[in-house]
Amino acid sequence: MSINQTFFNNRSPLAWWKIASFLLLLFVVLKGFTSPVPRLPILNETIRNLYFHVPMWFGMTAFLLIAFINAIIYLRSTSNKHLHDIHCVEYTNMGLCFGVLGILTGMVWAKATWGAYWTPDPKLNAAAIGMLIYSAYIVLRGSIQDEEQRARVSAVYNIFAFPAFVSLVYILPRLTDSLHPGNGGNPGFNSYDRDREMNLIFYSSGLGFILLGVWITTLRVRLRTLRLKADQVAHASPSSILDSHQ
Amino acid sequence: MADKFREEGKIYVVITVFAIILTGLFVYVFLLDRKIGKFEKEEKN
Repeated sequence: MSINQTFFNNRSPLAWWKIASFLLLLFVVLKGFTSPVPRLPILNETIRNLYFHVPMWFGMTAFLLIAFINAIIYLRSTSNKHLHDIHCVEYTNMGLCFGVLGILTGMVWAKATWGAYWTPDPKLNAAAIGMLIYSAYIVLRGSIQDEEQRARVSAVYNIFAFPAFVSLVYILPRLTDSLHPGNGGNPGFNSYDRDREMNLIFYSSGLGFILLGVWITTLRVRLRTLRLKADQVAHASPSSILDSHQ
Repeated sequence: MADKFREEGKIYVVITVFAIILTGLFVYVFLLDRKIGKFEKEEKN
């Protein structure tokens, strides 16, 4: 195998960006618990959760954005449409996974700092509603049997869902009272709380998790495409029993 | 909070556990990638 085939082919297990993902996250794990952090009141060392909780949300937003773009491309393209539909649904799946992890890591952090796993807070409720919106997307896909109609309807839903999600999670909590950092008049974690090294670990984690999510999503896309092809050969028809649940 | 941990060198237990989980996860995804690659190659032929 040539260098080109190994490191620069996106389907290779050793593609450069896959290796980068591993190295970045390894760096975060090795440095994240030992590098010095400011000991702020109440937070103390839990500020290290910044390296994990926020990247989950960055990742979710990134994947939902990619799904949104794929949905638009699906509706606009005339050839090879199903590929974009597959990308749309798989990136949304990945976004949902990361969202669940974001909520869980947030709940643990909330218990340690605010004293409760959940509070009636605009940011938290907006995040939960955002998750429900995309869960409804999955339910929608499951309810339509015809492949093309399913792809079309869910693409339209996705295009409406994304701006709603962004407004709910990023805009609304900033307009009102919120306990969550960065919203409702609270300062976010800015240059007073984050020094150079924290920034390095933080952005490495964000990038590392996004690359990992992309890797897993591309694997799922490839698996789905293989399954589709196998079903086409087996049943001589485009729709498949295995795919009918989504 | 975890300063006692660090003094006693136990922080490296935490880091090692995390590193093992991370590496295990990546090895799994890597093997999955290779398997899918093999299927794709078979499909092409």
